[in-house]
Amino acid sequence: MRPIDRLLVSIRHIRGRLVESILVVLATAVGVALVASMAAFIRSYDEQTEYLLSHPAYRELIVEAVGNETELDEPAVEYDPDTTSETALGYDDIQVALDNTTLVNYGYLADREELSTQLPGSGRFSGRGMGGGGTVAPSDLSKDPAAGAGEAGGELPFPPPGAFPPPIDGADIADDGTGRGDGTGSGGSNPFSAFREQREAAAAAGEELPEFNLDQFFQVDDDVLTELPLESFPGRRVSAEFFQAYGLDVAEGSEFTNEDLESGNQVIVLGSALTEALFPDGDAVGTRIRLNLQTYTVLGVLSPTTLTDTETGASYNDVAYVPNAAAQINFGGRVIRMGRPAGTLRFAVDDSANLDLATTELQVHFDAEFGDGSVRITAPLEELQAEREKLSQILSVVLFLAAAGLFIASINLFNLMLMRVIKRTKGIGITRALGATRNEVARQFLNESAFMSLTGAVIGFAVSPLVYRLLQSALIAEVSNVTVVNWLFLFVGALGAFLFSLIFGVYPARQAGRIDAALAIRSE
Amino acid sequence: MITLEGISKSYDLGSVQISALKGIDLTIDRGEFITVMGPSGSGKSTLLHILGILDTPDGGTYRLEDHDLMTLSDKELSRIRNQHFGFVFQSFNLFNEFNALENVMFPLMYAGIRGSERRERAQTLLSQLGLDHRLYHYPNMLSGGEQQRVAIARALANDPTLILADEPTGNLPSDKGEEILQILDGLNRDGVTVVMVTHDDVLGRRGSRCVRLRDGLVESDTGRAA
Repeated sequence: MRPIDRLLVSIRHIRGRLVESILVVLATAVGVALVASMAAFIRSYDEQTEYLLSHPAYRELIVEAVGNETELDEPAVEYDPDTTSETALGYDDIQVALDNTTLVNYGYLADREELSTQLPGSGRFSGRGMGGGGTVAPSDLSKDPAAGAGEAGGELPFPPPGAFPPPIDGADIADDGTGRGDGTGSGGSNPFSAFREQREAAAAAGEELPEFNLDQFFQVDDDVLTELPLESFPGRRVSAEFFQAYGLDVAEGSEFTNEDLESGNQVIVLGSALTEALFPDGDAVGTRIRLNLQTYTVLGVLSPTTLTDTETGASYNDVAYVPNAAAQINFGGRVIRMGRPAGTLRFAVDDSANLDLATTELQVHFDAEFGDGSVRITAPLEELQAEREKLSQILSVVLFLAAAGLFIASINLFNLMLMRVIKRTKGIGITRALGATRNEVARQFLNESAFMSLTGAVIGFAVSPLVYRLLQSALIAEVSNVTVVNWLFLFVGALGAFLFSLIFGVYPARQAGRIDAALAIRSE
Repeated sequence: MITLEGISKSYDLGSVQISALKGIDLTIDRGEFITVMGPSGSGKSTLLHILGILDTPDGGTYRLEDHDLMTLSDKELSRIRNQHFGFVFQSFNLFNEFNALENVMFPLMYAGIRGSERRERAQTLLSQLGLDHRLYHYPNMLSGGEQQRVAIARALANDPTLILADEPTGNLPSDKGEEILQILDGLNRDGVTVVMVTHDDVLGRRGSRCVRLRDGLVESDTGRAA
């Protein structure tokens, strides 16, 4: 019998028992989809684990002062050196810690902050106390110096450099956007100071206090770009060693240095994809842009990287890097060393095998420095491993359920085929009389079950990406770099499930081939 | 053409052993129209199934032309059934999922003949049997007589030399049964050997030779002068 004829006969027999065939095909499809998506998912999960284990964020050690943590969504805590200086960790402490340890390779600050190109009132700006209208009382401005610092503001009781400078001995410390190498204040050119003088003059003269005009305040130099293609993008406030720890290289321009940080230079380094988005025409380096109401000079553009933020999932190519304000010790020419709180200090090792020992070293160092138990050191890797272990167990259960689903579907196919063999016993006898060999009879039944398995497998494979997405959103809450479907493993999984279900058609087919023709013809 | 010697067959029905055939000697020559008669349980159908190599005897030899069928493989036996034998059953035994044309095409399919040729041959056979207008009818849409004619067309698909008919008129009214018998007569005139099982004495005399069975043995055989 020609294979095409066998197939056509199979289709006719399946059509003759359509409802039960469809149900079995659908059950097989579900089983195949589950197994295929689990195969692909577990593969992606392993790849992701591998990726995360190699991620610089998991070679980090995070040092926080005990009892001094601030919740992210609480308002910025006013910095009071009298009560917090004892346990306050500062930028300076990083270098001291590095000097006192041997296994710790890097130390840096790295806080997250959304950078906005918008003015307050435009709806997208998330700065606190600034959401209202075009005018704001100056007292509000000075009360909340961290306004505009976004999420990181909670960790940074001090304002970002140059934003709304807190009056330090009356000095004007605004870096008015001239960028790097000019840490000195520029006196009366600051509209804020100008307004204050105006207001004081009015108060002295007993006149009505002038309204503060935001438009005037936000005026920037002509060469500063205020209109950018993006409304906002993720930023990280870092110190210089972050770039080394994360292996980020500049493709153009340069990274900023510790001198830039300490001087409070308003510079910015852009990820490669972000640069393309912001400056489609190129020429990013040297441009001055306004972000969070401050003017930044683009210092460099990073080479593309495959790294993604382990917390937000953003590609590091889409991130901008600005100096961390906690590292600033030079305010308008005045060097201030008073251990400014940095919230969290980050240290990193080159080889995560050293992480445990490095933790001990750091603990010993900080305990000696600040007293036992004054700082808490956490290793994200440990949390990751604990979480992965839990996830692996869940995956094992889901895999078992998927396999069970396929098994049950295959048993249904097995039962259906066995039932058909019994129901068609007389027909088998007739076909034998017409010249079908035992082998031919068996092949006919195998062909039918294979056809149903294949149909189920094709449908299952077709819907498996959806099941995969479902699994992904259900099982891995955090976004990872493994968001694309692994088609190879999806296909291999579906193929394996198909072959598995195929086996269940063999026994009924063999039974059909064994049927005695003479008895079959006499049966009813 | 066919020589049976000492053919025996018994069925094992659980605890009871039933001997259906107890040593049958039978020689069938080309062109004969043999009717096999006997009471129920005399082994008529078993003999027919053994002749049609649907069943294998427990003992004895079966020679077809020069072949000892006892030594052939299932594949070779199936090919003989397909190419040389045609079966006609009392209850027609058509495939209900397939229309008349497709039913006739089945033996051609097992012979590995291509679709177009198959269709042509099946169509010709059906129209020779007066079923031009029933090609695409399914068995349940056909009368008993029509169904049996389709079954005969199917039996003739590969131009067999031997037709094995098991009470072919048993389920038909007498006029329709007569039609079927005339078709078989016609085939026999054209040189096809026919073996027909029946329990009807009238039909038993239609053949050129009548073999009577009783209790698994040949009781009488009109064809053997000796």
